[in-house]
Amino acid sequence: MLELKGITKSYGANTVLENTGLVIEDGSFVCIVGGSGSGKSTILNILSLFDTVTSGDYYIDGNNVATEKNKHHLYRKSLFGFVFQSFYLLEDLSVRDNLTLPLLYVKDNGVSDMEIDEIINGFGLTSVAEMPVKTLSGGEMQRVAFVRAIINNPKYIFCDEPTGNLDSANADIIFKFLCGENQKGKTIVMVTHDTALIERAKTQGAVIYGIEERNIVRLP
Amino acid sequence: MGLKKEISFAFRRLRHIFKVIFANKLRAALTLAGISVCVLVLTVSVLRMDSSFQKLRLQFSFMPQNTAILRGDINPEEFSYFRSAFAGIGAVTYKKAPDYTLQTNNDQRIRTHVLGVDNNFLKTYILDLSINTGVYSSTLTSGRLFSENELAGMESAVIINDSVAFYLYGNDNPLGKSILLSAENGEIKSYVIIGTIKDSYDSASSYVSYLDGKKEEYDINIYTTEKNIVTTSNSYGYALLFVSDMSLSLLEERVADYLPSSSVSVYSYADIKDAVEENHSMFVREFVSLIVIIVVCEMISLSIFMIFAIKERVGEIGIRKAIGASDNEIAVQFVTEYAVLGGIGTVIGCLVGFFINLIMLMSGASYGFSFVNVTIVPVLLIALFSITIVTFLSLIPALIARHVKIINALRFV
Repeated sequence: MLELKGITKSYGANTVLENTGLVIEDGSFVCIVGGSGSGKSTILNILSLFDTVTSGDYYIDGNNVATEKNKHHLYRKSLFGFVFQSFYLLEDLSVRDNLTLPLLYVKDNGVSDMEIDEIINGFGLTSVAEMPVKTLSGGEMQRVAFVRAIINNPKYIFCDEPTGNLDSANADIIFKFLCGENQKGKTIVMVTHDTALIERAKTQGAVIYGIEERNIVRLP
Repeated sequence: MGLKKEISFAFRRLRHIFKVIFANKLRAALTLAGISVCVLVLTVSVLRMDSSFQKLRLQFSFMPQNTAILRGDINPEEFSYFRSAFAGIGAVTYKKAPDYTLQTNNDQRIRTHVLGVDNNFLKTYILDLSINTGVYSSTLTSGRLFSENELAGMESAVIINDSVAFYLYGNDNPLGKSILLSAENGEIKSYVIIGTIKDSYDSASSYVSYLDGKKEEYDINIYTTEKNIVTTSNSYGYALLFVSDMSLSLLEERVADYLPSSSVSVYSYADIKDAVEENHSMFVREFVSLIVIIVVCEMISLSIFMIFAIKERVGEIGIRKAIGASDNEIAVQFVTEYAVLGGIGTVIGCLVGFFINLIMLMSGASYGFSFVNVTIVPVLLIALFSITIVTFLSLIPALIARHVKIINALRFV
């Protein structure tokens, strides 16, 4: 379970979140919505340990990680997976190298080369597996990013506008992938301002949160 | 089993680093070029210095222990008197010999240096304290030294160096043939070639560079017994080498008696050796200083390049940290990358430098370098030094990379 408790986040004099909180249950599908500059990406950055809170507590499975900055990378590599709007791939490297990047930082990852081949095949990336990522289409890149996010079998998957750069067909594929992972028991935390995507998420039982007056609020 | 896993994990990371290095070929090529050139300069310089020290040591090993040297400005008339009074006078070296013209068979006229010498000159050693510091000997390659009549000036004979003989007669035997020499005063005289000697450093180098016939002037040496050539020289001999059993104190007394108006000092074999080595060391120190400055400049350029490369890769660092790389793992990755590049660049630089030096030694065989051994130890030391320095320098970009914040870095992707 992820729990933000009484957190405040400020950038200089600009306070984005003030004494607010959020609880994300294991296995849930959570959407955080809002317009540009509302603070939704700030929440995702805090949840994914890319950024720290100015004050307050952040509990991951009961451990307050707000005070354990030197252990943040351990949570990122063992519990978290990420899917971003801009893919965030290493474009000079091949698809296979990008997919297996998280495994480089985990000694006993338990993923064999055969399993990696199966995953690549399962996501229709076999024909491009050895090609540099920069030669792929946007849809293929997002699939690579998605596989990279799940290859380490993370408990939580964070998505920042995951379908923002995709056409409707590819957006549909990625959304189905996310729903599939959620059904397997993984927690999905997605930030988006795409209303169509929010509506689709609702049909999957997603819990929707928004930001009002620097507070995280649950939306109907 | 645990160790096997550790090795497998380290190997997986190393393989990934190789892929990262060569994924961006331009960046890898620029880094490798910087390191290789730096190591190449260092290798060639150190090997040349090593060769030069070997050459000097070998030259002194051939020089008789009872050699003494008189050094200073010597009055030519006193010198003739002194020379006639003492047996065992060795070589005289000249800053400049008078200009003569050698007329060839096809009526070419070549300006040359003609040295007036005796047999002792050709038997002993020439001390050169200029930039080409060393001791040079004249080795007879064919024919004979001067006879009594020739030494007395009753017959005109010359000994020429091998390059001149080859130029004039090709592979034909030059002995017994005559050459015409015209002095500055226009007097033309015929001289019989009685012997040939091995090219000296200066004559050979000058001659070889002009052998294609494109240049008209030749700086070659011809040796005769004509005393007037010595006495009409417009420069004084500056070093006399003795092979003599006289003690230094006795030699000093004789110098004071026979060379009263000359300003001459007497030195022993050990003094000569020390002086030459000191002279050589001074040159080497200046040379090393220059090389160190070049290497330091190269290293500064390399570290600046490394830092800029890190700035260019901030996005990549952000991605790696986002998916779980720790700060230390990021630092280790960059240190390893540069250690690998340093290793490859060092191997390339050392190999190319080694072969350049080898080619220089082989092409310089006639300049007296033929007896120099090519040693591998300096190359190994340079390799070790280079890899250490590159790895050390990579700590700066590694530390910069370590402190990159994910949230800032991902904006650069």
